[in-house]
Formats: sequence, C-alpha cells, structure tokens
Amino acid sequence: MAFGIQVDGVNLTNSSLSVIAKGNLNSSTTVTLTKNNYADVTEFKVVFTPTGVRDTSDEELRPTSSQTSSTITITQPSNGTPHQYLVLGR
Amino acid sequence: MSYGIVAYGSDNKIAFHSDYSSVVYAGQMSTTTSAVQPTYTGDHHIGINAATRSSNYDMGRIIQYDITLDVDFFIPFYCPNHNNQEICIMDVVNEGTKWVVNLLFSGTSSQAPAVYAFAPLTELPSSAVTLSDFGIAVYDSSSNLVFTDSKRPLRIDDVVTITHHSSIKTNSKGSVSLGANSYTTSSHVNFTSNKTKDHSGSVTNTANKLYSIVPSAYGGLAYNNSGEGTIDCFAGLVTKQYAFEYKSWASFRGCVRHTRNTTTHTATWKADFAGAAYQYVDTSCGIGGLLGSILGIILAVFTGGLSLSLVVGAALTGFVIGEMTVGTVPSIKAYTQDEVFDQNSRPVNLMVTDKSYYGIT
Repeated sequence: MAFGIQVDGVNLTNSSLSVIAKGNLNSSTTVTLTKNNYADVTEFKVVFTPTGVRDTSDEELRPTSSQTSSTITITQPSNGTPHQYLVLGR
Repeated sequence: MSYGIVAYGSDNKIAFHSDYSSVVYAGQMSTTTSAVQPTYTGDHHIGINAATRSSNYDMGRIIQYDITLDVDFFIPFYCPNHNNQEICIMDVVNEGTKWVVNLLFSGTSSQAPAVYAFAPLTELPSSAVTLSDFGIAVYDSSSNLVFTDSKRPLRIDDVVTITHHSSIKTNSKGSVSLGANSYTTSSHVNFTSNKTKDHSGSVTNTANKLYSIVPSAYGGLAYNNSGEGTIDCFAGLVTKQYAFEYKSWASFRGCVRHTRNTTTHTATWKADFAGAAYQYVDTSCGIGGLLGSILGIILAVFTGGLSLSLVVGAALTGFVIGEMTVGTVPSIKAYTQDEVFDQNSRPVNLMVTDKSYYGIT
C-alpha cells in the first residue's frame, strides 16, 4: 500500500463500527445522545436486540430511535419488551 | 481527541479509535439441540406427517445455539446454509456466562445455518483475547483494550430496513369436509404463506455474507370447522344427534431470505408450530342432549392458560433432547384465528457483513 496502516499483511483501508454507547432498555425511558460528544465519529447506527425469550402471546413493543444532525434519541415505550441497544459509530 | 490514536478508512470514517471499543468477532456458536418441527400432540390431535408439515403447514425447523461468552452485549450474525434459505432469529438470551440463540430455518434438519457471535472488545474476558507479539493493540484512557489486530473489527457492508407484509396469507386455505358419520379424519387445509416483501440492498448476496436481524413480525393462521345435526336411525322414526369440531393452526415467524447474486432481501413467513385436532361424537339412537359437554374437551385446548401450556409443553418435548433449559424454550402459540403481531409493519434493520473480514472459512 502506498500509505496508511498494514496489520499482519492486511491493509487497513476500511472503516469499522465501534461502540459509542450501550445500554439495556426495560422500563419506559428516553435516552438522548449528543453527537458532538463523540469526537471524530461521523456516522451513527443504533442496533436493538430483543433479549430473553420473546413472548408471542401478545404484540411485542420495540424501542425506536431517531437522529437529527446533532442528537440521537432512543425511546422505549411504557410497555416495551426488554432490549439491549448499541450505538455504533465510525 | 487530545491523546491516543485514530485511524481512518478510505471512506474517511473511523477504522479504530482509542476512545471507542471495536466490535469484534468472538466465535462460532454451537448447536445444542436437534432441529425440530413441533406439532400439537395432545387430546384429539391429528397427526401431521413430515411431508404435510412442509406442504400444508409451511413449517421451518427450530434449533438452538449457544456460546460461552461472558459479555453483557452481544450481536448474532448468521450465514445461510444454502441459497434462498429462510431464517429467523427468534430469541437472544443471556444466561450469565453463556448466550443462547433460538433460530427458525427452512430446509432439512441437517441444513441449519451457521451462527457467529460478535461483541464489544472491551467486554471480552482477557482469556478470550490473545495479543500477538507484533501488530497493534490500542487502549482507552481507562486501560481497556479497544482495538487489536488479533480480533478483527465488525465491518458492516450494508444496512437494510426490513418490514414484513401485513398478511401471512391471502389466498384460500381450502377446507376439510366433515359431517355425519365423519368419525375420523386425516385431512388438512393449506396454510402455506403467499405473502412476501422484497427489499433492495446495496451489496450482492454471496455464500460468504453474514446477516444480523431479529424480525419483529409474528402471527398465525387458523382454520375451524364445526357442526352438528341429526342422523336417521330407523325410517325417520328414531334419530340420534351428532356433532364435530375441527381446529388447526400454524404459528408463523417473520423470516428473511437473501437471494444470492442479487441485492434483494425478501421478508417471508415460516411456521414454527402447527397443530390439528378433531373430535366427533354422536349419541345412541333416541338419546340426545349430551353433545355440548363432550365437545368441551376439544374446546379446552384453545382456552389458553394451563390447558394451552400443557399442549405447548407436550409439543416441545422432542426439543428438550439437547441442553435446552426451561428458560430458553421458545414461545409458541396455538391460534384460533388469523392474526399478525407487527406494530403495523415496524421496520427492523438488517446488517450485512462478510466472513472474509474475520478469517471465517
């Protein structure tokens, strides 16, 4: 490679996702993250994973996320099912 | 950053950063059960043979994986066994130092997909990370290892928003014809789903691609046929009463298939549990009025609560061959009417990566 970093013979030319924030969502809550607090990160993705055995006897209520140019908002509804969230960035 | 190190990829986005933990490949999960197709085997059940489970009940197979991994946060990725395999991660369960995944897939019992675990590097126990004598190790300000060349970081090729069709099936299920003197039946209607939804991604599906999604959609289809009447015993002078009740259902999960050599991801439906039950009673000639109480037996199966728990427990008996514990048995349900639970087709993100980035063969 003409520039950059090579590790174990592999050129490090691709970006990767790192963990910016993480947490568990059980009861009703809203999590707001300010993007400017995370230096050098220009792209954010929120990953929700339902945890535990999902009860199919009723409708599953999942958390939601939204982004503006400056914030990330994660919302767990009042009767939402248990989830973990990872905010990934690069 | 005021200290440390940051490296960027050719897309000008972070490759690794001493402020943030990379997410790394942590190992392949092992299957802990046989692949099963649970069906109702309780009172008055009608047997559903292997061919009918596929042709009429659209059933996939449930299997369980686990991995010993003492982390609080975990992302499972699967690699389909073959082209167009339909897959649903049903449950992701943390059991202390172990993570468990229940998964539904299409295909034969020997065609379970491979499942791989990813987790934040900072959470991996030191025993799970072996640093090389050379290369790179990056630590954050709290001395946590956040990047090392010996654990390749998660690299996402594509994120695709997946929604499922609001219906599982819209064409006819057919019918089971029953009536006087129908003492038994082995007939089944057809619950095969006919509703799918295509989504276009930006990268081509190949045999090396890994996918992560836990679809939110589930639901069920049901068929009911009941009736009663009078049978002539002798010249219209002596009669007897008869009644019958037939119920069948298929419980579905939202799945996704990834057609190779295309960029299409298709949201589909596959059944995880099915059942059929039939009861016929008639009286002796000249005797009537007993039918309602006798048919109450079959009705109890579908009233939920204890009766339903017993039914479901029996259906999953074959699934407890492996190491599955009560706390990790997937939830399955008998349906009495067509239903879809999906919060008006709520979108769920599908993440796509590639085996080759992690040295997975």
